[in-house]
Amino acid sequence: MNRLKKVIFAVGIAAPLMGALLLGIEPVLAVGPSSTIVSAETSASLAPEEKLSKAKEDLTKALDLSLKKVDSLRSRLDELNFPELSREEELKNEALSNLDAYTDYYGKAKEDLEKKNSLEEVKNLAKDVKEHRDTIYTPGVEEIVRFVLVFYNEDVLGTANDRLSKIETDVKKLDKLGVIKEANFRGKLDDADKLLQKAATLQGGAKEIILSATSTDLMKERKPSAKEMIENSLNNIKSVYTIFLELNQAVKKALGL
Amino acid sequence: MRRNDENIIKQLQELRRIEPDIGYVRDSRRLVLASRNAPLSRQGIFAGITQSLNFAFETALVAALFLVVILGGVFGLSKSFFLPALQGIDEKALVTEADAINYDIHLKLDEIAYFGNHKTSTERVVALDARRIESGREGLPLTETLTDQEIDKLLNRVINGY
Repeated sequence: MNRLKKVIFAVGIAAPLMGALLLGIEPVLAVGPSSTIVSAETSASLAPEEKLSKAKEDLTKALDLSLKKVDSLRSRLDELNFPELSREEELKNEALSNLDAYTDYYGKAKEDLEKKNSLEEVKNLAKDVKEHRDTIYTPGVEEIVRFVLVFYNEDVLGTANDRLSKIETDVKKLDKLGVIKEANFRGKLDDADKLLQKAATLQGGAKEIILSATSTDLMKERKPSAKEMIENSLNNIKSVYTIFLELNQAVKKALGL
Repeated sequence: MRRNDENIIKQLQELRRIEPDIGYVRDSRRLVLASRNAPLSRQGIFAGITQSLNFAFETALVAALFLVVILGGVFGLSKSFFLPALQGIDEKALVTEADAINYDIHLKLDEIAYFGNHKTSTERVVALDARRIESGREGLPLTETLTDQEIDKLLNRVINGY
């Protein structure tokens, strides 16, 4: 729950950051997509030394961003606290050691890059990095993201359930005072409750798959997959908040506010 | 005849000495003196009372109307102050929470989608661009997802762009 509060707080901070990004101020992790646009004509007109220098510059940037991304994933994992010797703890440690391996790989690639003196060598190194990303890094990160998100889903579900019970309490209180009729809002409250129950079932299913599966099992995706379950659960929670906002407007209207 | 005249004159002279009765004098003086402070006539008292009542009634009516207008306005404007504390439907808190959660979920869904069905970096870059165009959010940075996309684009450029 604390993590979600942090997230809500972080969104407050993210808004100005987004503004900064849109204004062209580049924060540490996010990168403006415009920086990647290099036309074929521009690169063709470059001298061989310039091409080598630009390629090295791009690859260095790609490796730096990869290292930052790994650090960011490490921070997200570190925020998760589990009981000692639990399956969750075991998976978290496994993920952390995978991240250590990615850090080692990208660090070594950076060292190698410094020794490269030809464009061909730089291109070959970039191909190796891409191959590593596609075959080792990305499946591993996908697994970590799924692991982190299933617990995020649990948190956000708790917040939505809290909000629903507070709204139900308010509606009952106002009904007792005789200023509104609970029956007029029961339909929407039940809809929200059903969506949250469904979201909880999906989240529970995803968590079960993630906690029980070995890495080989995860490669052979079940249907619906843990990813699909988390996605649907989060979409349900989004819909619930739309209902909450509608309820807020309807109650205000009934109160003549 | 002469004698009769003398009698009459004598009687008239005696009449000059006539004086009012002491009691009558006292009563008359009292009445005259009292009349200065005497209350208004009966008709005057009723008119005074009616006038006073009219004034009081008018004042009370104006005051009552004034109160109705003022209290009505205050009640209408601050109806929520009279309601119990409503934590669930408190608009500010709810809207802030909904915005934060929707924004955060949107980022997470983008992250899931980026690593979703596309196994190679080129496929992922193309798919994410398509997703952003489709959702009308081309200009929005997607934080971590964007970082991954940037890495993939840089690698592709080193391999194919120079």
